Amino acid sequence: MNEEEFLDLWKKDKPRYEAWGKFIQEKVCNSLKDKNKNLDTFLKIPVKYRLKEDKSIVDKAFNRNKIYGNPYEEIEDKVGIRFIVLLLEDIRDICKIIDNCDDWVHDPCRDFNKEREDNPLLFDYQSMHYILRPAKTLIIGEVEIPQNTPCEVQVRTLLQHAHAELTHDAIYKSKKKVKAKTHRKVARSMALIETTDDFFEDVNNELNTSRLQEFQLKEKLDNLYQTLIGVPPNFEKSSLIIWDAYDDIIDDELYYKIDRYLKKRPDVIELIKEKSKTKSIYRQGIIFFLTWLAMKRRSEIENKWPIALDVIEEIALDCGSSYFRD
Amino acid sequence: MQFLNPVINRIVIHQIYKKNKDEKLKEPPFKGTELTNFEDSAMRNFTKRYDEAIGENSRAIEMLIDIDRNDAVIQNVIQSIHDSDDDFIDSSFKIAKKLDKAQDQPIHKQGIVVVFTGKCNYPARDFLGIIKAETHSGYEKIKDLKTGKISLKFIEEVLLTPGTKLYKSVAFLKKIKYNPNETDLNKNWEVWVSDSQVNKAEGKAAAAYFLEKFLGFIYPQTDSRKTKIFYDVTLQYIQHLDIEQEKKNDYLNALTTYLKVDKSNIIDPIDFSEKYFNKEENTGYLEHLEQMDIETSSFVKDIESIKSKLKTRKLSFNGNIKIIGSPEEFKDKVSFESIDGEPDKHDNIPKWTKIIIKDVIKSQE
Repeated sequence: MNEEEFLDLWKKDKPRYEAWGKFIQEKVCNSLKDKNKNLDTFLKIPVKYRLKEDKSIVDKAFNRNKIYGNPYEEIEDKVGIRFIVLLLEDIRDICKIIDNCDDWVHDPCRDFNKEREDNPLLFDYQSMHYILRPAKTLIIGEVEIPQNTPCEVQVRTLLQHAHAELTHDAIYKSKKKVKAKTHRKVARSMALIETTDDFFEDVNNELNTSRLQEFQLKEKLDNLYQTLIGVPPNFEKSSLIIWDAYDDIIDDELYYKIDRYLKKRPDVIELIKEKSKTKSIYRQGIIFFLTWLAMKRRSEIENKWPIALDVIEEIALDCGSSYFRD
Repeated sequence: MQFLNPVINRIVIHQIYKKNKDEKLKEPPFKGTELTNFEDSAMRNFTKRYDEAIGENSRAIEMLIDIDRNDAVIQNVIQSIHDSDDDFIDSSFKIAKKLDKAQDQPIHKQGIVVVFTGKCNYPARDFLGIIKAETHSGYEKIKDLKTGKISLKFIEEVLLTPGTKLYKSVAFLKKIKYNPNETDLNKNWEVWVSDSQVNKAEGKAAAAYFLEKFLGFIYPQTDSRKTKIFYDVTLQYIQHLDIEQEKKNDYLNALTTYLKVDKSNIIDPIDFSEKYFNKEENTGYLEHLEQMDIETSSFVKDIESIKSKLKTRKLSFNGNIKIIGSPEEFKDKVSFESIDGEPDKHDNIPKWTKIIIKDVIKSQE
């Protein structure tokens, strides 16, 4: 295949690569939304699948070291998608989605975690790379996407991305020979980035770990709500302020204490069912904790209650629990 | 009393007066002539006051209706609760008149009598509530709109301020299995009283005019058993606390004092716990009661069945060594602390006890 034939073929095939890129992008984005991620903040650079430019694909196929036997088939990044996120754990979220999707298959990918293990002394370009191909021939609109259509997906942190942006053009594509000391600086900056990414993750964990999460109390109470009240509970952010104030009394026993108390008091469940029709606090899983608090742990209210007192006073009144004692 | 989702549907207010000391006469009770319409916020506040006095975790105690009394207020209650609104005004006034009649001493204070009906709990049950609220004086904040200056206006009669001490509350609650043909009133009605006088020394006598004469209530028989359970469970909790022996001694003394010396007629587990234990122990104690399925509502003290246990405080050691004394003497004269003993041959340091008894040895055998 000469350059002209190559380009003709590429121009003819562009719609199927474009459709495949678009399909993957939408699939991943929708899965992220399902996990309650706000794409505007979760993705640090707006995601947009991209077809390789004509000039660049020709250059890759014919001019660069000529490593391909059948360049058209072997070039796997004719369409590419890049997801840039803040934290290493965000990368894991996206990789999980990619790994678990049945619409495509992928070969073992480039995994920076594995590369770190394989070459512990090396600090080099880091990114997650996948080449995805349809699991079976897909037809989207009028476009057929056969199983041999690849798409390259990269997933990186913002810092890894910054490193890649600098090095990709400046180093790998550099026309002149790069000095050893420049290589050394690039490697040093990667070491710094890896360290910083780890620190970022630690900071994020320290900020977000709470006993509420550790003991999965919210999830457990939400399940209980669904079971006892018969409808899924709502979630309002104000409940997090309350949970935060009571983090110290959350332990692996608390759920069972609340559960035991509710088992003894079917009338409280009736109360919650009735009040949930008119009061939003009764439509949240935290209401079980609040009724328990009002009836069983009044002493925890006085100094800790973090929002307007009449909220808990009203619950205490509904429960018929004497809140004030002289 | 369990008082979930209380809804009060009608309220009527009457007034009774104090007996004049010199003339031993008093004004007849004043009858309210129409139902009181509280605004929403006032109604919520009123319900809250009543809840504080009578609801779960309050100091209210459960009583029994004296079935031998045929002039008891329960008959008026049964009538009132089923009356139409108009008749309710009349029948509730009969209740106020009964209280007026029972108040035959100058010491019995005047006040308003609020009688109200409503529903609570699941399934919803009828209840009739009575509050006798004594008036006291107070101040109202007044802000001058022009100058912004704040001053106080004296008010001679204020009612139902926070503080359950200033009102007596009663609840007649229909039991779930209420049956109009049932002749045993106690099978049909759950009755509760909140009266701070009962908690005081000689409270039983002071409150008698209200509890017995007016309401026709008697103290339940089960209190001696309840008192014993309270003692046993609290003792067990203290014994298992992971604290210094000296502190345990303090708590055991406190328990004995609470039961034996304290002049209140009421045992209030929450009150005991908050008075003596620190915050963590307090929480642990309430959890302990929960696990043992023991309710935290107040009840009348009756130490008959634990009298002998309260007579002595005892320290026991290995080798059948004991120090025994009356709790009062023990509290005043015996103190002890854990100390490190002399190392044994393996260099382990044992724990010993240093005891001080503020007295000479009277006899030895």
